[in-house]
Amino acid sequence: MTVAPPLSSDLYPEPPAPLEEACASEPRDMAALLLFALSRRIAGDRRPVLMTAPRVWFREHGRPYGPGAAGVPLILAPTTTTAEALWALEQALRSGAVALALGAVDGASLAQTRRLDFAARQGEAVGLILPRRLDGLSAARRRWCISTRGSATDPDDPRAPGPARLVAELVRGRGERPGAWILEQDDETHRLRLADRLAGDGLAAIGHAGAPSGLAA
Amino acid sequence: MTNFSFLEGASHPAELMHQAKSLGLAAVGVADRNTLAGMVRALMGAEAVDLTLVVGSRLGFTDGTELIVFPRDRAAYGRLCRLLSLGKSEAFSSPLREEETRIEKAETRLTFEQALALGEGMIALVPAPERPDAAFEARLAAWRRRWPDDLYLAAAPLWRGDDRARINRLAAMAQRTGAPMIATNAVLYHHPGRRTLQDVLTCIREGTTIDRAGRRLQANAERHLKPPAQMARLFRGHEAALARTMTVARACTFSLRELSYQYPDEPVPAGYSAQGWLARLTLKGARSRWPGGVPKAIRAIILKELRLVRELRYAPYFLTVHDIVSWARSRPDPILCQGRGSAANSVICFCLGITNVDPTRQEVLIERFISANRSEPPDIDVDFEHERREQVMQYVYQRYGRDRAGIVATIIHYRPRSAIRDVGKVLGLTEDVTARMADTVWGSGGAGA
Amino acid sequence: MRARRPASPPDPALDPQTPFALVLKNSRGAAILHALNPAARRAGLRRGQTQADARAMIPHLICKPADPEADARALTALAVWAGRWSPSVSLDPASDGLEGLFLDVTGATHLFGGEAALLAQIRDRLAEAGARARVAVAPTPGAAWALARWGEAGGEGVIADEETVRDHLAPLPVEALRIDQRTLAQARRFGLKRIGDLYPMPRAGLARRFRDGAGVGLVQRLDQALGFTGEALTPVRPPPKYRAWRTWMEPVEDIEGVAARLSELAADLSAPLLRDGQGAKALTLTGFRSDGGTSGLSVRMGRAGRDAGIWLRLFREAGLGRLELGLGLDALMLTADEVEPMTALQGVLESEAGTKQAESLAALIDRLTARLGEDRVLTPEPVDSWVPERAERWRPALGRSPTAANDDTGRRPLLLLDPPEPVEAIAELPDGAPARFTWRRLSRRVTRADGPERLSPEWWRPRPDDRQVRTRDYYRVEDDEGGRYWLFREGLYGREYSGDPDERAPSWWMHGVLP
Repeated sequence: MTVAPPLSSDLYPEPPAPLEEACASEPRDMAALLLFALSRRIAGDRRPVLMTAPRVWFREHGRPYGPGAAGVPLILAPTTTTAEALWALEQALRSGAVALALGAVDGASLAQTRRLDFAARQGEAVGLILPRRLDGLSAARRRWCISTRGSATDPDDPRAPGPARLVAELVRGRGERPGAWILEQDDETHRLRLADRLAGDGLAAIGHAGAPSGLAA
Repeated sequence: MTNFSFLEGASHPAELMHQAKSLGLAAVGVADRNTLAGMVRALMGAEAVDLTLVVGSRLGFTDGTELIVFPRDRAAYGRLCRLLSLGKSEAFSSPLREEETRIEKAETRLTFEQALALGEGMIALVPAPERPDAAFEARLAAWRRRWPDDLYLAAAPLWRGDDRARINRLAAMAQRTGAPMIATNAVLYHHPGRRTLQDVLTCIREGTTIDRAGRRLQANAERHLKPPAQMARLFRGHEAALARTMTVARACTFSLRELSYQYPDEPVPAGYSAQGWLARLTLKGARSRWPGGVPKAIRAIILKELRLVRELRYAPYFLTVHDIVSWARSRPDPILCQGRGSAANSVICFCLGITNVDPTRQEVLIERFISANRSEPPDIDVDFEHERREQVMQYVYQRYGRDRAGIVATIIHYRPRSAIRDVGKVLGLTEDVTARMADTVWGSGGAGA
Repeated sequence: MRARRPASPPDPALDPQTPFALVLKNSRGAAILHALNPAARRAGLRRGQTQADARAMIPHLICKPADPEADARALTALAVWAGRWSPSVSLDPASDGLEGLFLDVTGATHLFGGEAALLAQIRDRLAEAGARARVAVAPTPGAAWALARWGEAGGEGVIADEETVRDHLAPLPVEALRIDQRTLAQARRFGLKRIGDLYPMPRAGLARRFRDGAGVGLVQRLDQALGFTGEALTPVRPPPKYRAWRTWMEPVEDIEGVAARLSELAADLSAPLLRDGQGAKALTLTGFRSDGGTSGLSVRMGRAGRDAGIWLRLFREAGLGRLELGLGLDALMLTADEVEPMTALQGVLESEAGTKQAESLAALIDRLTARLGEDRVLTPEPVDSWVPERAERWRPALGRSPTAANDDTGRRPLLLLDPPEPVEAIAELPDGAPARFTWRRLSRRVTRADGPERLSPEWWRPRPDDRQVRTRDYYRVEDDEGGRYWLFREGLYGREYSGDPDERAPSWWMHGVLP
């Protein structure tokens, strides 16, 4: 189990910058990363979301599933080269037709990220790069590292997974202090919000010695 | 639910009873949608396997809410029948709504208020919706307060993955509203293998083919009778809810067997009983049939029949039929009518002028008509001149009152031909294929769907 | 109608001086001479002779098997290439060893500088492409056919019009009317050797004299040649209703040149579309190379349009560089392959902002599709099914409006594994959630779980193989590291599996990852 970063008492930077970067702490955190990425849209923006990634990415992690991303119209563009992916992201951002353009892209140069940042501003959209590692120079204003966390407790059934939780660690932010926040998925709206500090940390729940009973209710 | 919940339930009442017995259940509550039509078959099925039948009905109100009711006793059963009649006559008398072009024949229009008015002596179960929310809880609480008898919250597992949570939530709701939770299974068929037919019924009901039905179909095959052990597992932690099913079963002691045939009083002149009046009319009629004297043999038969009629207490019935027939014949332009069928075996009927089969010419046997062994009441079929039958019906309504006369209807049920046709449509077969298949079936079939 | 027809002998030869023939086996298995080079013809050989006979005459004759299919393909390719001169090119397969093409140049000869120039160009280009051709221009296909093969005018090709065609045809032999051998023999027997011999004959008489319909055939052919009855030709490619085409003296050799010409063509094409109230949904740019080949590039759009600027951009995205220029293009054609009415009312019901949004989204999808291809710009389409992997279908986003999916269950994963991956799991029977499971070689301990969500198979679907499709029980599980997964067991213990060793035991699968 990974050690959780210290939680920040600063305000969670909810409004997204035109360009941000986020990576998954481990490959298994990819779904959490995707949920986080989808949350980095301007509040109330209903435009669709474009995602681009190499085909092998989809084979390894799975493909985004509409019913699981409730409420988000999706466009998927599997690309083969970094150049193609960056081109697609730039086109999407600049067009003003999407709210968010996500790309699982590695090794984008500073100049390339600058272009994306510019395009995002032009289209009043948000660009989010999902590299395997956060390194190198980038024009992205923020860099995040996402890891999944034990879920909150379901009030009706403590033995079931409750609302999902994840840790969003701000590794670098221009003019902002690094920090980490626990975000929780709202039951009804399926959107992420800051978790209640008072609610227990999901990991502390459940201390059955044995496996959860096979109650098939 | 049995298949008497048309196009919803997929098993015959007898099949459900049989299966229930083999699963080790002691009692089965049957509640079809807005009807009691299946109860006779259910009773016969239950008696055949020595099972207790708890009679009930699932009322569907015009606002979309539902209430399952089980009458405790005969009186409550009577009120339930009245309620259902009310609901079905309302459907006829209420003016057509703008959007409708015709009222479905079997449609029932009822409100909770109407059920409330007649609900005394009925145990009620409120079915829990898929997502029990605050609005539902408010309604549950309100109904609980107002219902004149016991009212429960019926919870059934939905197999959507969150049953444990949902049942917990319902239990909490039950606690708060004072409507104890009771465990049910929302049965649509007796055995999981019956699911395919139930899917087909859904398609017929929705007017679609099977591959277009999508999620209108049930997601799984779990709407079948379950053995007690499985129910116990599904409701682990809520054993009280399971126990309450027995409580309700025991509280509802009404059995259809309690229903005896109650013929209404037929008005007779002062000083006479129905039997006496019938005897007088019969002899009078006999004298006019045989003006030269009633043959001895005939007289003997008449007396024998009258004895039988007295024993079985059928006199008022004969009088009613006679009254209608003589009214018809006494019109200024007499309405032609004739009795037929097994009634022709009755000399009484001949004397009363109901039938025209002369017993001296034709051998008659009263046992073909009524008998002490047969438990069924007699059935006199009288044909009236077709164009004037409306007049006769009006006379009946007038004499007995609109509330006490009705036209007997048969339950719609599938004949093999139309069944094949409709199922074929659902499965996407072309019409000529299904027509050919339907042609391989003979006749109109016996036992229906 | 002006038609024209080149006749080109197929010429395979290596050394033009060596007699060479292609042979074909006839129905009795004998090898028959199918095509001859000029040297073979000069040596006296004829089509239809047996190879044996021919060898007897010319021992050093070289023979190779004919490949009629390849010939047909080559002719078709040539026909497509000839589209640079006419949108309506029809094949005239070899009836006498000489294949040909019909080009309908009605109303377009001025584009090439007149008929003589056109004929010269065709002959020259075909020669460059390696096909020697005889050409002619005439008001009817019949006349053109005849004049191309038998006409004089040296190597330049006969040019006939409505007035002169009769005179031009008169001296030609009767077989120039495309009649069969029997009819030909009959005509000869009656002493009718030239087409001119037929003119004074009364038609009814001709029909009468040539029995068994032979007379009718002759009369019909004559009428066709003279233009009294029509003759329908089937073009190799159906001519598109909307097209713009231009040719140049100097071949275009680079992309920018193509782009410049394309923008002219785009302007040419959008004018008639505008006039007719139509918009194009698919365009093809065809380049005609000077060496005889063609190269095409197509783009598709989600919505019909007629904005030349957008088209140009789409072609650039699609990659003008994909056009093979060879040694240069001397003609370009832009056709609208799919056209539909464009109403000015489009979008009047949506709000201004909504319309603009929809349009810019459609334009983005068009651009992405042009560069990446239709199958790489996708959007999910919901399908009404309980089976999770069937509940959505990924389709090309072109022409579609991405919509958000609905999830009434609240239990669906964000990432779906397609296909599901096998998992080993330990769970309480008959339908308990897993307590431990191993996926991708990692073993995990389950701390929380719920389920099952039971989904029965769609019994009305045909099964791909004989394996029974069984019920799935889905569980959401959370492990001790905070990972949340969506697993299912296929096969119910009890109902679908009784423990019989011959049966397949229920198996576990990972279907998705929950955030």
